[in-house]
This record gives sequence, structure tokens and C-alpha cells, in this order.
Amino acid sequence: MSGRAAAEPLVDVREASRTHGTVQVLAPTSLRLGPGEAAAVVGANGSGKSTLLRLVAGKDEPTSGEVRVLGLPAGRARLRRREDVALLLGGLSAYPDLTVAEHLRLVASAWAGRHPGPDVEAALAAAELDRVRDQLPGELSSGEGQMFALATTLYRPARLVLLDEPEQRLDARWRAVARRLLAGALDAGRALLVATHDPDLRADLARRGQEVELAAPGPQRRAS
Amino acid sequence: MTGAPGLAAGHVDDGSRVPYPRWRRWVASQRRRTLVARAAESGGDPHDRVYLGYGVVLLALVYGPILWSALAQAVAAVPSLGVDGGTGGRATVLVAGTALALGVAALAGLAAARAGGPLWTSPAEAAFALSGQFRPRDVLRRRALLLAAGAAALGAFAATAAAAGLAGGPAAAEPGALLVAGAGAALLAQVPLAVGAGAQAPGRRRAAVGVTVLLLAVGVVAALAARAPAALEAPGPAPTGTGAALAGAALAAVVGLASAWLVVRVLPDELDVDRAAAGQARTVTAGRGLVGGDSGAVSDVLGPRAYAGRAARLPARLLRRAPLVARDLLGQRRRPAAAAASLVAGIAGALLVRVGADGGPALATAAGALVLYAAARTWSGGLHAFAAQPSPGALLPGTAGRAVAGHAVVPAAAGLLVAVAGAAGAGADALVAVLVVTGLALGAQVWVAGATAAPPGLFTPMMTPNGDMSMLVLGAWYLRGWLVVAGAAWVLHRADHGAAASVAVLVLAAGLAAAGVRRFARA
Repeated sequence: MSGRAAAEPLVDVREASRTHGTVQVLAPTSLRLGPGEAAAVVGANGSGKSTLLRLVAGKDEPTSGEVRVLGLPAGRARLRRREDVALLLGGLSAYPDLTVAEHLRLVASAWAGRHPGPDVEAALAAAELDRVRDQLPGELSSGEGQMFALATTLYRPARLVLLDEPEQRLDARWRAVARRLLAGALDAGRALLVATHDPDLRADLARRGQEVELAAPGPQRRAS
Repeated sequence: MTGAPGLAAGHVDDGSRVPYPRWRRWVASQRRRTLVARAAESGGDPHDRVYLGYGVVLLALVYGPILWSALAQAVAAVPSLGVDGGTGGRATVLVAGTALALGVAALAGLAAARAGGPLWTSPAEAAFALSGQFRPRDVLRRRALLLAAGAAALGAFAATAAAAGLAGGPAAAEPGALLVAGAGAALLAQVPLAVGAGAQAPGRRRAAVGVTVLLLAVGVVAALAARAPAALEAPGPAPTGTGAALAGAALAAVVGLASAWLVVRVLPDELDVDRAAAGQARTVTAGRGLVGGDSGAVSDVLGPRAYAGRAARLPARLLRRAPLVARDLLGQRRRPAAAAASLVAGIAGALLVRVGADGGPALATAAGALVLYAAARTWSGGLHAFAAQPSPGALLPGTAGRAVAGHAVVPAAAGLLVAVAGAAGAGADALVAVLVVTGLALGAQVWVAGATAAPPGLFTPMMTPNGDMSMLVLGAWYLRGWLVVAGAAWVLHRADHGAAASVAVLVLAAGLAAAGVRRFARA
């Protein structure tokens, strides 16, 4: 890896904003994220958390400002560097006829040689999904489905992980499990950009990086 | 408590447990007034139903005769349905056509059962009227009678048109023959209706599927017999006389009346009310989705899929070498009935294309292509599941094109299998024609899978002298795969399956697949 590439942040958002018609859904926001760092995107509903994640994922274009991911404009990074970015924005990209364990096996096999582990059984145990390992996605409860989505997203190799409110529909016990999984991903050197309403997750992520607070409706964010 | 108040034990008359027997008219009138008042309060016009009925009757009167004549002329134009072959041949063709038509209609009835019909019930009825207070057959009597009458009218409409076509055209048809055909079809049309209603009853579902398979099997066997020269030429001593015709009419009457009795009197009481209400609610939601441009809503209408092959596992060796192929194979093994049916249908489609290529009518080529396209939908289940993901292929390495290629292996192998099976023993030209049409069907599947939401531009009003055509365009977008496949197959046939036309169709198939891959990459 060249020195330039090593110094370049994985995510570089410079005064990016997004406007739909006459409504500004994301005020100008800046953010830099390096390997092994975390950023918790917080704010009230409608403040633009999901919009910011979509801009970083390259699924939307900023109205003003710039969003670069892995050294490329986010839109191009989505096409050219998709192997480096894992995302959980609008639900898991699952197959309805594969069980929970089979999804992990498929991911491990598809990434063979580049998958750092752990093996499927260990991953299921870490996510406390052993009990539902042979169930199809459509047979899971909403909380189980969310934990399945989070565990599978984190199971695929990636340098950058984008998560939109991963704590949704999880009870207190599973929220703790989710925080543990995210801490493990950070320990593995991944960068995490996470929109969340969970104060514990927010605090955990802030300890490992930064907090990006968005205000709605508002002209500016406060970064800490 | 063993009986109703005021009645001695043993004198409970189950037959009297009907909704408000003495006050029914008064309750019904109150209910009507309430509904009208509510409709008026919500801004609706209480007379909407009257206008709707008026519109339907007007449309039927204006376009019904046109449709009837077109149907009769279409039947008259099919050369193999002529009067050649003697009385025995005509009888075989009649049996084949009737059984196949009833089988296809019964298939539609089975699909309707998954969508909450034909005996539909609203969630409110499921909660208040059908949860044990009233006998379902009393609540649903009017609906069942309406369905039976509608099925009879549709059956008579189609059968009289077909009979007129078989006689050589509307002008050549005898009124007496049309009357007999219409009456027979009105009775037999109750069979698919009973199949659909039976599939809504948990205890009758298996029988409904059995009747459908039986009808289709009889139709196929009779069709094959009708194609055999020996069957057409053999005069046959007994089955062609007046006695046989009377026996057939009596059988149709008995079967039809029994089916109608089942629909009106028996099956409503055995209905899985909650399932029917859930299906109806799902259909309404899916219908809104379709109007909004979501083509995936069609699969929602048919409800959750049943995965019978749960014991099947990912083949370990193949999983290491070709993960998506292993995944798709497992997907086929998880739905063994659908996979087997699609292979059978695919072979039937290939046979039809072969018949067309061997000098048969263009209708055979187009119908075969459509059957192959429908069968390819099951083989490409993995690709369609991939397309339905929020970010297709987000869990997998490589480009979208690589993922689509991985998902294309199983459909391509299945297509090759049915093409070779369908064209076995045929000449090279027929084999090439079957392979080309199969490739077209597969390419169209990739193309259609690439986009599940209609482009917003289609919703722009398109004013013409005949009114706004935007909904027609939207309908064409939903049917784009079917239309392209049928059109290309028809052109291929008109070009006499020549080399240039075959290459053009293959280029079209490749272009369609490439367009689908490009859409996946942009998703």
C-alpha cells in the first residue's frame, strides 16, 4: 500500500448537503473516517442520518459539497470498490430459500481465500443465532431478522461498514450482542459509519472515533 | 347448556341457525341504509355501484359481440381444428379441447385460491360474520350464486364462440348446436370454480389439485390421440353415435350440477376463512402495488412460497467451486414440485416450438415460446431472488455481471435439458429452433428481472382520442417479457426459422440479458 493510500481516509465528506425540491434533508456536513475508526451519526428523525449514509454508499448524489469513499467519488466507489464496502441500509440482501446458517456458508464460500473467519458456527454463536440456524429469513421474528441481517453484513469481508440503525427491533440483550459484534469489527480494523438512536451504542462508537450530530431542521451540525 | 334457550334438549334445529331468520329483511335494510350513509359521509357516491354495473353492462353489450366474433374467427383459422378426420376425430378434438380448457381454468382456480378467491371474504366478514356465529354458506350464498352464474356465462360465451369457429365461422353456425354447446359449457364451467373453491378448503385442497392434474392429463392424452392419424381415421364403432353424445351430455350435466352444488352448499362451510381473508387483503395490497408500478407485487398476490424440500442441503463440493450454482440448485430442490412441473412444462413448450418448426402453425411456435418463458421463471428463481434484494449481491464479491452469470448457470442447464428432450429425434432445423427460442426465453428472464419497478415516465398521462393510455402502457410494461418473447417467436416462424432470423433472435436475447445486467449494476 502506498503512503498516499495509507494516509487517505476511507470516508471523506466535505460540506455535503442534500436537498429534495425546496426541502433540505441534510444540512452541510463534514466527516473523515480512517481504518479502525467509528462514527456515530445521531440526530432526531428527519435530520438526515439515512441520507448521509446513502450519500456515502453512493446511492445518492449530494446537492452541494463532496463525498469521497476509498479515494473515489462515492458514486464511482459504489461501482468499483463494492467489495470493500458492506452496507445494511434498506434490509439485508438475503435469499428467501436459504436458512440463516446457509447464508453464512454461502458468504464464507463466495469469499473463499479472502474471508478472515470465524467459521459459521462461531459466527452464529457470537450473534446468539444458534437456535434459528436452520430457519428461513421469512420465519424469523423481527428481532431475530434484524440480528441475522447485522451478523451477516458483518460476516462478509469489508474495509468500510455502513449501518442504518442496527439496533432497530432488538431488545436489551440483543442490543448488547450487537454492540459486541460492532466492537469486534472495529478490532478487526474496519471502519464503521453507523446511524443510531441507541445511547449505549452511540457512546461505544464515540469512544472509538467520533460523533456526528445532525440537527433537523437546521443549518449546521455540531461535531464533537 | 345443551340447547338454545326456550328449546328442549334434542330439538335444536341446526338448519335454523341462520343470521336473524325472523328479522333478516329489517336488519338487511338497516345495514343498507348505514352503508349508504357511511359512503355519503366519506365523500363517496352511494350510487357508485349502480354506475359500475351500468358501465360493465354497457361495455359487455358493445365489446362482447366483437370479442365473440374474433374468438370464433380465431378458432376457425386454426387449420388442425377443422372438421377433417370424421366424427371420431372431431370427438377426440372436442374432448382434448374441453379437458385442456377446463384444466387451464382449474389451474387459474388454484392460483385464485392462493390469492383469496374465488370465494373471497373480507377481513371484516372473517372477524364478525364467519367466526362461528353464522353458517358461512348462508353468509356467502349470494356470492357463490353470483360466481356460479358468472362462470356459466363465461363458459357459454367461450364455448359458443369456439363452436361457431369449428363450424367454419359465425355465419355457418347452427343455433341449435350453439345452444347445446353453450348449455354444456355453462355446466362444465362450474368444475374449475369448484376446484378453486375446493382449494380454499383445507380438507379438499389435495383433491382440487388432483382434479386439475387429471383434467390436464386427459387433455394432453386426447390431444396426442387427435394428432395420431390412426385415431382420426378410425371410424370407431360405438363412441361416435348419438348415444355417446347423449352420454357425454348427461355426464356434463351431472358433473356441472354437482360442482355447482359443492360451490353453493358444501364448500363455503369448509372454507379456511382466515386464510381467505388474508389472501384477499394481500391481493388488495398487491393490486395497489401494481398500480404503483411494483411488478414484484404479483408474487405477493400468490402469498408466501412453500418450501417442501427443507431437508435438502447445500452441496459442499459445488459450494466451494461455484457457490451461486450450489445455491440455485438448492433453491430448486427446496421447491421440488415447482421444479418438476417447470421441467415438464418446458418440455411441452419445446415440443410446441418443434411442431411449429416442422411446418406447424405460428401459434404453436408462439405458444411454445410463452410456455418456455413461464417455465424459465422457475429455473431462474435464484436470479429473481437476487434481483429482489435491496442491494443485489451486497453480500457477494465481484461485479453484478459475475453474480448474474453465476445465477444463469442453472436456468441455462435446465433450458438446455428441456430443449434437447423436446427436440429429441427431430431434425437439426427443429433442434436449432428450439434452442434459439429457449435462449430467447432465458434472455428475457434476465431482462425482466433487472427491473421490478416501472419507470416513473410511464405514469405520465398519454392523452389520445380514446382517452388516457398510460395505464395501457403500464400494463404492457408488466407484460414486456411475454410480449417480446411471443413477438420474436412469431417473427422467427414467419421467417421460416431461417439462419438470419435465428441469429437475430439470439442477438435480441443477448441484448435483453445485457440490458438486465446493466440495470443490476446500477441498482
